[in-house]
Amino acid sequence: MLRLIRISFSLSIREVRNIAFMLILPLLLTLILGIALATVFDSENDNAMAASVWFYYIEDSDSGDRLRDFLEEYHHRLNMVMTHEADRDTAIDGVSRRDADAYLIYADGVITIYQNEHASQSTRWLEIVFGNYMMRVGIIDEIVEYSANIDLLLFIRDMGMDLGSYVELLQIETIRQPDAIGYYAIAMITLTSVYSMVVLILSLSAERRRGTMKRYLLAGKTLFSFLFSKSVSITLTLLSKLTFIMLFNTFVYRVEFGGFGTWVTVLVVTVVFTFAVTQFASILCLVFKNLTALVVAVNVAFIPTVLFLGGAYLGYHMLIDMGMGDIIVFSPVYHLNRGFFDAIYLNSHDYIRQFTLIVAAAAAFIVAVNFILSKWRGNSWVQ
Amino acid sequence: MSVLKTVDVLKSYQGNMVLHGVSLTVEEKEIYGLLGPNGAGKSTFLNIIVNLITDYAGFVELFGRDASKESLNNIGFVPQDLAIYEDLSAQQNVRFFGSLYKLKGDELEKRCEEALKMVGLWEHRKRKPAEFSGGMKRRLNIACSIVHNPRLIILDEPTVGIDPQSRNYILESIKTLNNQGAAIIYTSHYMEEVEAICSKVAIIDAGRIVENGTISRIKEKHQKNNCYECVLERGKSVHDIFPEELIADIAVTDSKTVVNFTRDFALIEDVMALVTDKKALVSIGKHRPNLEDIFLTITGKALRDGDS
Repeated sequence: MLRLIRISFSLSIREVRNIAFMLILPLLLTLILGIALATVFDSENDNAMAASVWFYYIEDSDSGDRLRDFLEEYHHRLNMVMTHEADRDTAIDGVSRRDADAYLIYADGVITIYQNEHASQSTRWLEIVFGNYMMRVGIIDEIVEYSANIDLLLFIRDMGMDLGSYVELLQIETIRQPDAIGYYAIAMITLTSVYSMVVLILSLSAERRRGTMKRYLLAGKTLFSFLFSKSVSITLTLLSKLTFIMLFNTFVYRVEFGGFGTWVTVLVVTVVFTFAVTQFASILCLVFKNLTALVVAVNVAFIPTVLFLGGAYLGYHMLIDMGMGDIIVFSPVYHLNRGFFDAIYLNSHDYIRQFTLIVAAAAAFIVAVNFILSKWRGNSWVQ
Repeated sequence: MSVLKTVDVLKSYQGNMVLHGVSLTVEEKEIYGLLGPNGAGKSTFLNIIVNLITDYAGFVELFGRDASKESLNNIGFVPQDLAIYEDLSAQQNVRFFGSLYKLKGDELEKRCEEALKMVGLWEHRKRKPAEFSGGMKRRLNIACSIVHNPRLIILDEPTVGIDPQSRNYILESIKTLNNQGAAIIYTSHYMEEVEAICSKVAIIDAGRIVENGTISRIKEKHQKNNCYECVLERGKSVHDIFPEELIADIAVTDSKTVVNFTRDFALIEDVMALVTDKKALVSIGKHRPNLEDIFLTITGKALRDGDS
């Protein structure tokens, strides 16, 4: 099987259509989607205020580590306190940094706080998400100056402003990060998956029309192993394509995807997701005789799906703004989506593992169905 | 040892029988022609041999054993379609399909070179099929099927739509492959090709083998005692030579006239005894039908447009 996958992959990266897609797709996505989403989501105001701060502890200058240690040690208590204190539906788990008014990224001993565009200027609190933890600090105007207590328990409960002796604000800088990046990244991943589906069906259609598929079976390969290897090879091709897209957007469009962990997360989630999608496409191919019509159907079905998802997303934000977030929170679709988005945005979040496992389980199920269908169809399917 | 033996192979599609107990044996180093009109069941039969169709009744034995993955690896199937990748060069195509048979490294390169040289494409190995003529594509199609050095090569109409030079090259290549030890099953609608390269033929019609054996034996079998061919003096016709009541049918070719008599004549002398104008008759002999005559006699002359 590995040999077949290698052979199939070597073929897919030589196909002119694949190479063209690899080059054209990022350009299309960057130019069209970037502009479109930026327009829809007001990305022209994409300057997020950010403050890089240095935490220091009285007894220990390496306070960044102390903060991390503290969180690791007391996270259960923090969870409890936070749940109690938080009046938003998001609580601790399930919150994404994009929905918080602000979020915090800790790296190399420096904690950077980002304030999201949608943060209400009238809010008294700045919500900060750190891994699985959410904390609140008082906010004075924007983020010009603030104080935080390294004893987070106390700090959170009191919301006091008398904490300046523990924290020194070193610098304030502006980091360019478009608001539309969230939608943009999701659109890229969704499109990549759909493209993989279309590419797989087109590839199978061409293999069957040309008769090259017969040669695999003549060499003793099974229909299932052929379909499986095609699916894996196209997933790998799409993975390389996605890597290219991310690099392209990082260096050309200045899109920030986060650190290395986020990169890996995005790629892992997308690969698992794409593999499941391509396996599903194999099933469609086995069921439907006319593959050309199937490609058209997938493309046509994609348009209302995008409209639906887009509408759902806009509706979601409208409900949030109207204070009706509870309605959404109880929806299983919401949780599935949140799992997907959190897996992307919060690389340390449990949702990464959970979501990936769910999709992987779904993929395994689809593979099993594929196996049964392949046996049922038999070699005569290639005729 | 036979390389292929099928016994009573039956196959139906949605209740319609397309193969009615086909039995065929191909020995080593034979070139076997498989003839039949469109829709006769040839392709179905070939697909059963190479395991592309698995739901059939009957028995298929390859190289003295039941059909298995190992035995399939000893078959080279040249499909009627051009089963090649347009995006790959000729050499990459052959190398790619060779690798499906677990060939690798130097052995794969050596086999690629041999296959491409066999079909006369070694000089064009770097070019892509999109730049090839129809004949070159057909030859590449063959090279992709023989790269793993199979013991049985099945060619499904490999010379459709190509120029005489390419056709001749392909026929010569097939003979060479046969001389190197491969058994060949060859299907074609070009009877002269089959006559030129095949030692045996089987004619299949409506899912049944209706004729089978060496070409000479089949010709002998279909030689009729009432059918003679004669060469006449210029300006003379058969009606000047034979009594009118003896003549059933006449067919004139470039130099000969084929006469079907109303009764049989076992010996030429018997015919000569009835000739009215011996000076007008240059020569006479029993008509020996060619394969096309026999094919049309067996399968009929009605069009098979409705068949697929």
